[in-house]
Amino acid sequence: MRISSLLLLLVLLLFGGCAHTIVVAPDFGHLPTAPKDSTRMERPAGYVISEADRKRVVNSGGGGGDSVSYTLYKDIESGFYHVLSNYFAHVYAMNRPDDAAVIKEKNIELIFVPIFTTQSSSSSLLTWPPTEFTLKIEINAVDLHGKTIWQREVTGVGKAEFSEFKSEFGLAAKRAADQALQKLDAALAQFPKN
Amino acid sequence: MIKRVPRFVVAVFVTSVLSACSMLAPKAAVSVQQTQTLRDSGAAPVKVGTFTSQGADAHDQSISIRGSGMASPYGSYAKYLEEAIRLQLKEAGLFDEASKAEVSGTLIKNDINAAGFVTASGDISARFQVRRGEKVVYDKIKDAHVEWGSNFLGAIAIPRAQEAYPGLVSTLLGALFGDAEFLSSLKSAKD
Repeated sequence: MRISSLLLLLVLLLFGGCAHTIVVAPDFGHLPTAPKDSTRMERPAGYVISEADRKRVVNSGGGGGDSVSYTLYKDIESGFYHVLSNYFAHVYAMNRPDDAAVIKEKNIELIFVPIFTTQSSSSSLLTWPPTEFTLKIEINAVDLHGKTIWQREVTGVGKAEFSEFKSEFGLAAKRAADQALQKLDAALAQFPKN
Repeated sequence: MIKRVPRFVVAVFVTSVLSACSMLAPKAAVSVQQTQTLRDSGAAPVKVGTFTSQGADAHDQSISIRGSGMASPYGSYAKYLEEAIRLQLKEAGLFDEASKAEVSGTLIKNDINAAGFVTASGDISARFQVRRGEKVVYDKIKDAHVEWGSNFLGAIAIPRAQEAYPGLVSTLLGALFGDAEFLSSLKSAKD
């Protein structure tokens, strides 16, 4: 076997199918912030992200046959909370929508239930970080009887090239999170006040 | 025979196995739990003063991760800590540039050990002070230690260590915000 073949085989054996860790958190400098004089809704709002979802590791495609892995709900949660807090003065995390103790203690009147899904890929055969990343946020707001009172779906797409992500491997994901949360913020501006 | 090895194969091998290049730490993260802790604390808004570093253990300009240098996206790691606490206080609505109370700090220790093939760790330590005028109302050193799964391969271990850094800083801030004396010092700083 030629040396070139041996080297190639070694590289494939070493790196084939690796899952590389990235973080899918937004850049807070890119997220809208409610102006100080804005009137946020006083209705206490809960949002549901379970502990199991926070710990769940999600995999999606990278380059060179590798994949990337991340704790999707944990990574997005702080940006999601930030955007909700732009419109609601009192926002509380809930482990499940029927968490009676939290509902009673915080006087929660409506509950947001988000579903985050992702896709990613890379146009590169030699580098693993995604060059394109998509984050979809489906969100339902329900009342205390479980009735849907508002729902939206927004999608953010982030792209990054090698020259950019060589110092920040999750850059495409970060850009997707920025865009999806910016769209969610715009959607929440239409949330009924009553 | 070596001359017959295509250059691109060598390039792939070298870039895949060796990752001795410079990189930036991810920007500071925000913790929802800390935001809620701060909001529920009844603390008064503060401004954020200057954070500095002290000694070589602070690795203020660069942290070495298996020979790769990781620099701060804010210019220094003292500045990283300053930005992290400002961001977290802003999220909780407790940042006010006009406040007479000021939190500042000194980065003492700041390092990542990713030499292990199974586990890597990060350690950080800083002295935090809250002042109102000339009076120091809080002065304590806080530490944090975080571990995560590592790998024999640098191409996997180094990015994992890089992505772990914001969590290390956030854990340190969690220790600060979880200190009743710190929260009390902000309350006592109310005018």
